[in-house]
Amino acid sequence: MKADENSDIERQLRDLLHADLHRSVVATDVDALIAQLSRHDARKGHARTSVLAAVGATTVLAAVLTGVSLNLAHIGDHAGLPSPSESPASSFSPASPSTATPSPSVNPTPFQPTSWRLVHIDLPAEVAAHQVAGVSPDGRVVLVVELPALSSAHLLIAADLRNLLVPGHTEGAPISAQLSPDGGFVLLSELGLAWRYEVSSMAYTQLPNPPGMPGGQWMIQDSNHALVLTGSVASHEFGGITDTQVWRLDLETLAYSELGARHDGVGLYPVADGGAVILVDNSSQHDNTGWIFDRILPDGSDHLLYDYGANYPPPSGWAVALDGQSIAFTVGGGKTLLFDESSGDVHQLGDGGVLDFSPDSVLVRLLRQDGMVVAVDRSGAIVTSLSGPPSGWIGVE
Amino acid sequence: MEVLERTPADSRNRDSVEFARIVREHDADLQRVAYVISGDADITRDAVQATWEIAWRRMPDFDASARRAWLLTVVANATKRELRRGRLRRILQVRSYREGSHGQVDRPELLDLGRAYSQLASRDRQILGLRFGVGLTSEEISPLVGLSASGVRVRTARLLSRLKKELSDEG
Repeated sequence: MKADENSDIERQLRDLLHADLHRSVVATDVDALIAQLSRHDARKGHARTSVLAAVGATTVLAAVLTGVSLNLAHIGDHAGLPSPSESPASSFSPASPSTATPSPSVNPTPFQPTSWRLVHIDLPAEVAAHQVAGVSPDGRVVLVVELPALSSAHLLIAADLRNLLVPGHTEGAPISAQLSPDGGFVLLSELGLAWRYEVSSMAYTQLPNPPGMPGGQWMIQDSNHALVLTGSVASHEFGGITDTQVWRLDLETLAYSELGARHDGVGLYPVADGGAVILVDNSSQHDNTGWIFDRILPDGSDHLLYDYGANYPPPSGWAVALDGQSIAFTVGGGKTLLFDESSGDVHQLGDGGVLDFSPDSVLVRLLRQDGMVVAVDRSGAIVTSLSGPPSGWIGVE
Repeated sequence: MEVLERTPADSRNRDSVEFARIVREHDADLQRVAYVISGDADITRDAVQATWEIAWRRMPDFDASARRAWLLTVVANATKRELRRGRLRRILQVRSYREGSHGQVDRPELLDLGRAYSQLASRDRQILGLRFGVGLTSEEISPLVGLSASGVRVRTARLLSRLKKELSDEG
């Protein structure tokens, strides 16, 4: 093609697109924006009002763990709780952090929870607006990320507040951060790169990408393995059918093995047995109307776990349990449903948007419209009711 | 690179005038990038708002060109994150040139081009949208679409050739 012919079509494209964009975008009101941000700053400058939930007289367990007080309310007899009002909730209150405080020695301690409790976590003012992204089973390590764009991640360990800034990382750019199940390390990823941050040594190690791949969507599977979905994130956003692969990385040897492959994988969820659940968008326009969940077993074999798109419109939220058999999804009206592969049953769990499952897949955390955070069992009965975020799962031995 | 980590106390004294200047300089391009990627006015608004919140808190002390690249990356990632949250995605369409409910077009000579453009894969529409709608360079588009700058150039040239051929065939 000749250069002037290209110029013609380039000019026509500019005319075409400029007009549409001009009509479609509205400039930010700069004065209003700055006023809003200034008000936000002023609020953050004030002493934060504690939202620590009151611990009722039924508290039966209290533990002091390296400067972190952990109070677990006895919340038995909750089945059939008549009122979702704030229960004598579990609360977790790290000491006030100071970045000047030397970091304590942190080594994951052997901890084998037999059950899990949802507890309120009282965050210090510095990260009060952040979201809890992970809590170690013993409650000693809390990972918080900044919303709305996950532009920073901090670790809260007793009185130590650490800003996790990987080498070469652009402060403020969105990142992904996950805490390992034992609280021993954090997996950070951004733009196709991933790092492992050791909680004890505070050292960052860049992880290799899957063979021949530019990166992907990273998920911690267990304390020794990570999963990577390659070729999906960008491809999904850009549409088109793409081949996606699921890789398993041994974090000790840094060796990859391919767990499986699919067309148009858009989400990856680890399963405790070493396999994974992959979310595939089968809709021709990638408009989230053709979702299916496939279960990939550790040996690479697979089967359809649930054809979501055949039954429901796009959800506003969803979560996949570590058991690889359970999916919770929030549908219109803010109700959350549970699919259980073992029974093939779908039933309503309750009002509120789903946040996640407990690590043992027994409980589901919901955020209700009134701001309350509740943990419900698989029948939908409220087990814990908290005044609101932040919260996290704590193991009980 | 120095990062300006601002405390709430600092914020009360910050130079709002300078921040307002940066917003006015870059806001239109951020809006266009978010809209090209999402095709959705609500997502565009939320992603740009998130970008300015991030910039307000900790805009790195870049020179002007690096600041633009940083802002483009942040808004692109914020937009993609909004899309990943399960919100319906509607890739940029050229509504005014499609055969819409009113059957009217502003520029009839662009009707065929609009139709051919709308039939491209969404990724290709994004590349062309960022290049010719927003006016980004191949180097600026590169990190936003996950291709090298040379890859963007090659893809753009192929897409232009394809559009040209389709228009010729139709003519």
